[in-house]
Amino acid sequence: MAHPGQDVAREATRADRRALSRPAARAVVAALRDPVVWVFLLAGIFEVLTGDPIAHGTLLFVVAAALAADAVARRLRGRMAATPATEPAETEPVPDLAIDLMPSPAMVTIGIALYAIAGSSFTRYTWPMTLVVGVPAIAAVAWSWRARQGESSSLPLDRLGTWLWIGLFVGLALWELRELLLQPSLTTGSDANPTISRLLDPILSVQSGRLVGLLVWLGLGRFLIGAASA
Amino acid sequence: MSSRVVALAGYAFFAAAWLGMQMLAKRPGSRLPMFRPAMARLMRTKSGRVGVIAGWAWLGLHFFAR
Repeated sequence: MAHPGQDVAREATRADRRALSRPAARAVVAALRDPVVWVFLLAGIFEVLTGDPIAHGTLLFVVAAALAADAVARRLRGRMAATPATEPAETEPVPDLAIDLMPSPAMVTIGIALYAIAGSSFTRYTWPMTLVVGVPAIAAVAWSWRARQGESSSLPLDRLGTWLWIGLFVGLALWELRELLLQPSLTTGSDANPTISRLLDPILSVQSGRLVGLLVWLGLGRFLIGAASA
Repeated sequence: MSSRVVALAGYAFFAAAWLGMQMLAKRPGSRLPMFRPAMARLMRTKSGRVGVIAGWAWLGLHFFAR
C-alpha cells in the first residue's frame, strides 16, 4: 500500500511534467505553423522524389529543421524570461558582419564578376564547381541566421501588394510543378513539358552560359542581402 | 498548340507579370510595392530571411553543384 506522502509526491511530479510539456508542445505547434518550414519540407521531398543529389535535399530538410528548432527554442526562452516571444533574437545587438565588412559597391561588383569568370571555367556537377557555389551559399545562409532586421523592412507596405508579389512566385512554383508532373516520370526530363532546369541545361553546359548563370545567381544573392539589411 | 509551347508561354507569362508589376509599382501613388521592399518585408522575420536566402543558396546548388 502506498504511503499518502508518496501519492502527493507522485501527483506533484505529474503536474510538474504537465507544466513543462505543455509550453513545449505549444512551442512545437507554433513552429510548425510557420509556412517557411513547410515550404522547405515539401521542396526537400520533391528534391528526393526527382532523384536529385542527396546533399541538395538535405540542405532543404536541414533548413526546415533548424528553423523549427530555433522557433521552439526562442518561444521557450521567451516564456522563461516572461517576455513576449515575438522574435526576441531580432532585437539582440548582433554585429552585422557581412555588411560591416562589405567594401564599396563597385568593388563588390568587380569581385562578383571575377569570381564568376573563374568559377565558370569549371564544369557543372563537379567538386570544384560545388565549392564555387557552396562557399558563398554557406556564407550567405550563415549571415541570414545572425543578421539583424533591416530598418526599411519595417516600413508600412500595402498588404495586398505584398501578397501579389508572393502570389506571383507561388504561381511560378505551381507552373513548374505542373510541368514536372507532366513529365514521363519525376526522374525523366521532357522537352514537351520542360522544367526551368531542363530549359537552362543547354545554356549552362557551355562556359559563357555558366558565366551568365553565375553572374545572375551571385547578383541575386547580393540583391537579397542588400534588401534584407537595408 | 504543342504542350511545349504552352509550357514556354506559362514561363513567359510569369516573367512578363514580374516586369509589369515592377513597372506598375514605379508609378507615383501606386499601392503596389516595388520588388525590393516587398522582399525586404518578406525577410523581416528570421524564418523569412533564412528561408529566402537558403532558397537562393539551393538554386545555386541545384543548377551547378554536385
